[in-house]
Amino acid sequence: MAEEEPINWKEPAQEITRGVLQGIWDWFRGRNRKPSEFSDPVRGILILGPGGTGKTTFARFLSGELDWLQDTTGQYTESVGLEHFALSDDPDVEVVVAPGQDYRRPSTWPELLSQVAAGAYRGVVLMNAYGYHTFSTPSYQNHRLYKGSKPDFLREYYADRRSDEIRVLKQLAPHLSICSKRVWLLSVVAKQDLWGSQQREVEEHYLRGDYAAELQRISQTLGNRSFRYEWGFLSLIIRNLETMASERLQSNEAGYDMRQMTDSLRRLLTVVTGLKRWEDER
Amino acid sequence: MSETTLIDTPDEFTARAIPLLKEYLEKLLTLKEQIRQLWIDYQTESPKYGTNKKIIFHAEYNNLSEKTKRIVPAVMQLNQQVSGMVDQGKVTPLMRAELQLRLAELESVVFDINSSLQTYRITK
Repeated sequence: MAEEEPINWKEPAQEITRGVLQGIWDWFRGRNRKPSEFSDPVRGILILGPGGTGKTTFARFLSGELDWLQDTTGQYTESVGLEHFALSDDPDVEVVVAPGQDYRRPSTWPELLSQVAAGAYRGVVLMNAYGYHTFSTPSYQNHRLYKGSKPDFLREYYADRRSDEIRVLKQLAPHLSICSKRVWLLSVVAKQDLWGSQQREVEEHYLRGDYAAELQRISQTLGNRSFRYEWGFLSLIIRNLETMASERLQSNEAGYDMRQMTDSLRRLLTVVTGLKRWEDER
Repeated sequence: MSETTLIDTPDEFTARAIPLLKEYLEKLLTLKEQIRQLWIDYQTESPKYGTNKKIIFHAEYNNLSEKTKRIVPAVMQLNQQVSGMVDQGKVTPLMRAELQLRLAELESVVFDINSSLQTYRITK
């Protein structure tokens, strides 16, 4: 068998990503709506999740604001309030991102959650990262969970953040369960470049544990015609997990490259296509 | 960067951060007031600058705008570290409350000053 030439993944990856994003934008702005549906304004998308999971990055990608092809080194910037992103070619459709820090939630989340219940959003993207959340204490040594050992800290930190992901879902669940209009939930587990080799454990955690049980409860309450949930496991940026003082907490996995990132985005498009089909069902 | 990066202990952090939060709250409030006052002065009839009035006020507005653009990103860096300490830092409940309150004030004025630059814009 002839030896395969090494592939430069940069250009195909760029094209595929553009295509995936274009597909998602088209869906968000309701390009394929039937004429009879135009009187019903396109409802927005809410992106919710703990701090440091990549909500703003995801929204920027979706809105076309950040071109990941040009900017893959961007530092973590915390959202201090609600962020609104209009889709690049349809300013009427809004992607709303809520700040994720626990202490910021009381000033913004109650109203957003009421809006979820009232059907203001056609879908909610719940961002998770299997506990690999970026945080802003200058060093891990300033973190409340640090007790002198970095490995112990990391173990405890990731577990703590996974618990917070479930807390966020539990906070959202009662509001979603009384949503007056059809609504979907897309659980995105980002930062696959940090946990890719643990795919099985990650899927176990989200698809079979407390997280899945909570989703099942919402689904049972609303029924399949009114509620649909899906999963996406992906990476938006390949980057080590570091503190503000540039201390490395977790290196991205050897072998996780643009090709794998692109594959994860392709799979996301398949998921999104399924949601779109469900939305179109009457 | 290696793990030998200099790190403040939580106590050192709060001891340094609180005076900085106070100092930059005052500085940004002053800057915000200067932007507003400049616009009021611009609206007031004054023969002092003659036909150069527009150019002079525009230049002064630009100076304030540039100063803001240099200070705000650095303030945001400070704010993010403080926010990290409020959210997940090893601080006492009272210290957390103080940091949160001071951060809320500084974040508000950062928001205000950006909107002041838009509202009181002086064009050439």
